[in-house]
Amino acid sequence: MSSAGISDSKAVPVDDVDRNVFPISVAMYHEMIESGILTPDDRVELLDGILVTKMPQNDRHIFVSEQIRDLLTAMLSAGYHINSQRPVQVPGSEPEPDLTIIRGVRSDYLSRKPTGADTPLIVEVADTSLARDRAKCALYALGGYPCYWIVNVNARQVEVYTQPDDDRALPGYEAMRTYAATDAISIECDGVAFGMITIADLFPGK
Amino acid sequence: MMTRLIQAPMVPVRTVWRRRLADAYPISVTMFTRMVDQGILRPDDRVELIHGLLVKKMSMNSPHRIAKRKLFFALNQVVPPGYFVDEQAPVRTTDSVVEPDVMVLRGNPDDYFPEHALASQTSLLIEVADTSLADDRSKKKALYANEGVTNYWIVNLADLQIEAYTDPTGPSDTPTYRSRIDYRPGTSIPVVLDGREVGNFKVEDAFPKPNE
Repeated sequence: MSSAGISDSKAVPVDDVDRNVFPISVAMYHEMIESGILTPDDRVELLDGILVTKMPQNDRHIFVSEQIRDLLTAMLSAGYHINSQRPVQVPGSEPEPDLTIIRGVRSDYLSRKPTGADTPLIVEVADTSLARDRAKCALYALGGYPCYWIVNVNARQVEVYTQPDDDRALPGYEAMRTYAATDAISIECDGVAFGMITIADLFPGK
Repeated sequence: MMTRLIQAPMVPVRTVWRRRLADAYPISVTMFTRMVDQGILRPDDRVELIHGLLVKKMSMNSPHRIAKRKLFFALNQVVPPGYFVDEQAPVRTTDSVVEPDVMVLRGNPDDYFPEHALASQTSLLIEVADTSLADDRSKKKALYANEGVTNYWIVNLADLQIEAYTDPTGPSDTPTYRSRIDYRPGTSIPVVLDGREVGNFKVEDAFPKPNE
């Protein structure tokens, strides 16, 4: 059971409210942004119809994100580009994952956001957000994202989720494998291998 | 570099996404008002803002609609000049915008335009409860008590009684009303506005007739 209430002085049972939540659609969310009701100062994602506060990034989170970004950039070809914290499409949501490998060039996506079919890899760096990032498996599977990494900064390991089942009622990944610091993982997009990353290289220190 | 052998068998992972309302980004009264003004939220969406979250209002069934109209009519017979009766109009608090079924306000409608009345400005605030009884008793009661709404009625359709709550605690960890009196058919319910009894009406006049 989640912690009770949204503001601590009004102890509303969370389950009751969840049942009656009026979901914000992706279209409504876009209108809120276009009309300036939401501004870049509002650090939010739309997750299953709710505006959710994006977690602030500490130094370790930033280090790991940028480290992965550098490693991937060095090995990928011109047929792909990398985004950081940019929105992607999921039915009913608009998450902003820490990193994505997107097929094509940026100008291919001027008028639309990438979908699961465009995105060989999604990465979330989990420092304080591990539980939420694991729960996001359901959302990314629903969006058909073929490969989802959770980079667990505290445990110095990477959880790799593959084979999404986009079943509306119970989306999820069919396979999960954990890579420890001594392991290496192959970076593959559309069946083409681009190189290996040693997990230990993702994290600061030893 | 050596790749460690695959350790555990791969298993399907079905983590259920649960809405984590504790992480919800609060929608302010201003944001909500702009969403309504811009048509992002429409009247037929039947949505309220409660402590920063968008919440669906229960859809009204026929007994609810009838009770509301009869209540509106009964109140209009007793409410004196200097007050007016309104229905389904928004009231606001610091973090919520809700639409009570019926309410009595001092003055006239122009006094509450363009900004909606504060919940605490109502002289009498009424919710008609059928399927929404649990919510009206807990969530809404706490919200109104916290705001210092002096006079809160629940017209309880299921139990055929009007529950009159007074003496709110005001802001508190567990806001509530210190006094509750239930009025049943066969009695009259007094209408007290700002401490003054202005009249009364028969309780059964607020409820649908058995064949309605």
